[in-house]
Amino acid sequence: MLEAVSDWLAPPRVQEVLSVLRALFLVAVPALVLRLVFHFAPYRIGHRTKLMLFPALFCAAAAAILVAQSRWQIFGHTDKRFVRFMELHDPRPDTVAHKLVRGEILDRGGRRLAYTDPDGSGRRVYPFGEATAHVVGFRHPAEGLTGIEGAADDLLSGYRALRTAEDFREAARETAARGRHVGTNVTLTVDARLQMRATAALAGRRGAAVALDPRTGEVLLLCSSPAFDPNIFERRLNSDPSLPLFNRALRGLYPSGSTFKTAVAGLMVDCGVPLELDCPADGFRVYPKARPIRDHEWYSYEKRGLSWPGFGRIGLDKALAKSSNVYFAQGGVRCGTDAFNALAERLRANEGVAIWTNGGRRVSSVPGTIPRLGRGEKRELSQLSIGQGRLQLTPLHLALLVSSIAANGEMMAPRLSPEMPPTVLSRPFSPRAARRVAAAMRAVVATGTARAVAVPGLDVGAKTGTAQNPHGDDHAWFVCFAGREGEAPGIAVAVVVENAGFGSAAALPVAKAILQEWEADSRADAQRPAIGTADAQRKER
Amino acid sequence: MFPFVVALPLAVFLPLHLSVLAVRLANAPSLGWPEIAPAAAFCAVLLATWAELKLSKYSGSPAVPCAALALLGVGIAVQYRIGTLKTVELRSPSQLALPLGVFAMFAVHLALRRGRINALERFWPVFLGAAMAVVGAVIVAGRAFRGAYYLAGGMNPAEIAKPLLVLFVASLLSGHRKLLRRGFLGVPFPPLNILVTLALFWAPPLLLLVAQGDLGMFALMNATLLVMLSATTGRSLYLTGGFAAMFLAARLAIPLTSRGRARLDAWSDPFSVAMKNGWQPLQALVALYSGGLWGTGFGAGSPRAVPIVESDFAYVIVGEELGLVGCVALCALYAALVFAGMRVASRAKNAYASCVATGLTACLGIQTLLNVGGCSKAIPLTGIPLPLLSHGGSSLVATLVMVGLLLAISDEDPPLVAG
Repeated sequence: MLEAVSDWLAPPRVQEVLSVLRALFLVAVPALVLRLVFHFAPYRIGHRTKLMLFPALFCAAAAAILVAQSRWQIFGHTDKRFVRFMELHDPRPDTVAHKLVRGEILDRGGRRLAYTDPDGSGRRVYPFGEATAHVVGFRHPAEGLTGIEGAADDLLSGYRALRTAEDFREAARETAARGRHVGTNVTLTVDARLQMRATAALAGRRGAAVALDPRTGEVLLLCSSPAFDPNIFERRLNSDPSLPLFNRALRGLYPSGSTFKTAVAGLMVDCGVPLELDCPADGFRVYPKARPIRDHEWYSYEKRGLSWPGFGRIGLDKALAKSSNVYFAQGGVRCGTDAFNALAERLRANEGVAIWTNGGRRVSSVPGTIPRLGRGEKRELSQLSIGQGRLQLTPLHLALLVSSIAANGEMMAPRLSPEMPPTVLSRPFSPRAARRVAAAMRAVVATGTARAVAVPGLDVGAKTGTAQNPHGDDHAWFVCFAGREGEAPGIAVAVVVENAGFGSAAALPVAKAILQEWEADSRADAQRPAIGTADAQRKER
Repeated sequence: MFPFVVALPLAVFLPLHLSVLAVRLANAPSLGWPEIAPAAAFCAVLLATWAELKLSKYSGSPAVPCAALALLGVGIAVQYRIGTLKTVELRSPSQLALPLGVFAMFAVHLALRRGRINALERFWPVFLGAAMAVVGAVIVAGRAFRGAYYLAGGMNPAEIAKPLLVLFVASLLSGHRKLLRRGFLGVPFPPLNILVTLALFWAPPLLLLVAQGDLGMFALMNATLLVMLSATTGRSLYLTGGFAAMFLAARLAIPLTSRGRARLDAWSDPFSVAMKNGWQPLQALVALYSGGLWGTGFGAGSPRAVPIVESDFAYVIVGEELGLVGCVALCALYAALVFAGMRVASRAKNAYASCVATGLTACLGIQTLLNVGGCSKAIPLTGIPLPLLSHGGSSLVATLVMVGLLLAISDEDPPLVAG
């Protein structure tokens, strides 16, 4: 007999039975209370009538508590942190919080950088693993949300659309119809192929690579190394001495070394300083008794016991190709501190530059440092002009500098979202100066320190850098821009490898790998229209 | 005696018990006899109460036993549903609590009815001594658990100090009510020596409670005293001023202790300590949210996700499975008990008896508010059980003794000639 009852009670009937019993309970309680009230009514309350104030007070307090309770019990979903807590820690299988499936994060070609495992566990999958770990970020119950996962959380969780109770009911209806409610997908401007290639080229060395599209400001590549696998996040990463969780591309501050000479070159053109300068072998002194700034060649000759004749009188192309310290120290000092301070401001060097503002949280670089100089600080100016001294910039700042040179002096605001409109962040150089420096950077590839970066089919301009740093070996820098022959430059790259010595040896191959990948990809994409259509295909599916 | 006194509590209890049975039957087609035990036990309690009231020719308010029995029924259903009441095992102390409490309720009622309770007014030193002895014994013999002292098996006999303290302080208050009432323009100015005497006798047992680590009970008894003071003197400033002073003192003193600070933090921002002190209250809120307005159906939710839900968070079980509507119904039952208790106090002929009834009712009401407010994050957690619902034998016995006292005070007139 029990079996028959049990079968009869099988879901969903048990739910109906429970509703009936609940209704009985909800009838019985008011019946009891009303019966008591009717029982009291005919009698005198008693001679201490004031005492009946206390039950009234009790009812008022209980009502207040129930109102406070309904703020969680009925309107709990309006508190975002509460929903987040339920999503992570509510063991009940079918609460609304679990049906909010996070949206996917896609790259510019529609490749999935992050999606939620369809097995229902809510686990996040990052198909590109290490390669996109820093830009995409990750979700972890204890660590919370990082990167774009954190910054675009409102969109991904679908939470931005779910503000009112009506929205939530709508989502519940959709949930009932489709089994789940999916958050908004977020498309990034980065290219997963470039991320993979750059990560492979950095090969676990400490460093970073950033690539921008100079025409639009789109961030094509944002890569920090060493990285970690966001699919199997481990706590011990927090204490790893190589700082794999540290996003060097946005937060790493490095002296930029010779790469900064490109900015000084632009400033010299803009200030009308003569571009033919004497570069004597025994260096440049700001004051007669100051320690001279010398060229690398002088030191390497001296090491071998030889004496170096010096460059003599050289122009901008040769100075940049040979990365002459003497030339640019002079040039910077001739421009003067006021012009230099204004350049630092135009380069946005002392500001954090945002690459994601879509929603409440921003993703931005840390502010760099180019100290503001007083009129008399010529010695400091000569140091800063060759990228040394108290100058510290992030890889993103350097990529912006190069992109402004490549785009006729216009620095487009960097952006990770294709939905953010392209805007001009600043105009550090006049078009004439930018074109002049770009020509000089092409000469560096043609005849100077960056000959090895030449890629067939691409028109490349570049500059190496070897930045002395007080904490250890020199940092290797490489910045370049490239465009297909006959077209405007379409990519600007900045690469840094920590404590790796010469920029041409350590950082150049990474940049070359990025350019080769970009060239191959843009050739492949030209054959089949890529952006947009991939998105459209996904939507159709 | 009215039949509804037992019929209506049964009508409240039965749907809940049947709900749990339905859920268990739907999951497995087997049903042991122990599953009937809660219904059997509650029916036995109802029958015994009915017989006791009938035979003793109870002439008091039927509302007190009716509301108390209904809450006891909800409590038994909740404990049965959460699994602390599986079988009838007369050996285990927690199972013995129900019969023990019911018999204590009868005994108190029979011993003190017909105005005999008024004789207790002279014996206040006995109650003071007994309260201090009980709390002191717990401190000496108990062991520390979660910052407070308990006897073996998690028993806390200090609960019985609640009625003892009420009985003791009612003597002082009703004896000096004229002096305590003295004042000017609504502001009470009682003679200082009375206040000092009251404070001197009130402080030792309360300080013992603090030593035991039961700050929730400390606050509860102080609030009860304030209600009794303002009720016997008719001066509302005792209540408002006293609560303001208590609030200020709590604001200043609680952050001084690490445990108090942790509880305050877990209340003001549970999300920042979600993995530590905020876990239990947040899980309680999640349980409430998953219940929503109508609840999941009694027995069909998962309130076990809240750690130790059966004791301090028993209210959450009702909140999840019967919804906000069920919570309103439960609060209405408590309000009925408070209303009935205060009516007993207001009709009592003797000032002492009235004062005792006021104190007992205030104690039950404030206890309810503190617990319910804590569960729904309206106020910080105090660690006070919900009367008649929370798991805990000593709390159940103490509450039933308090109900017995209310019955005795209510039952003061000899019955009218039957007609």
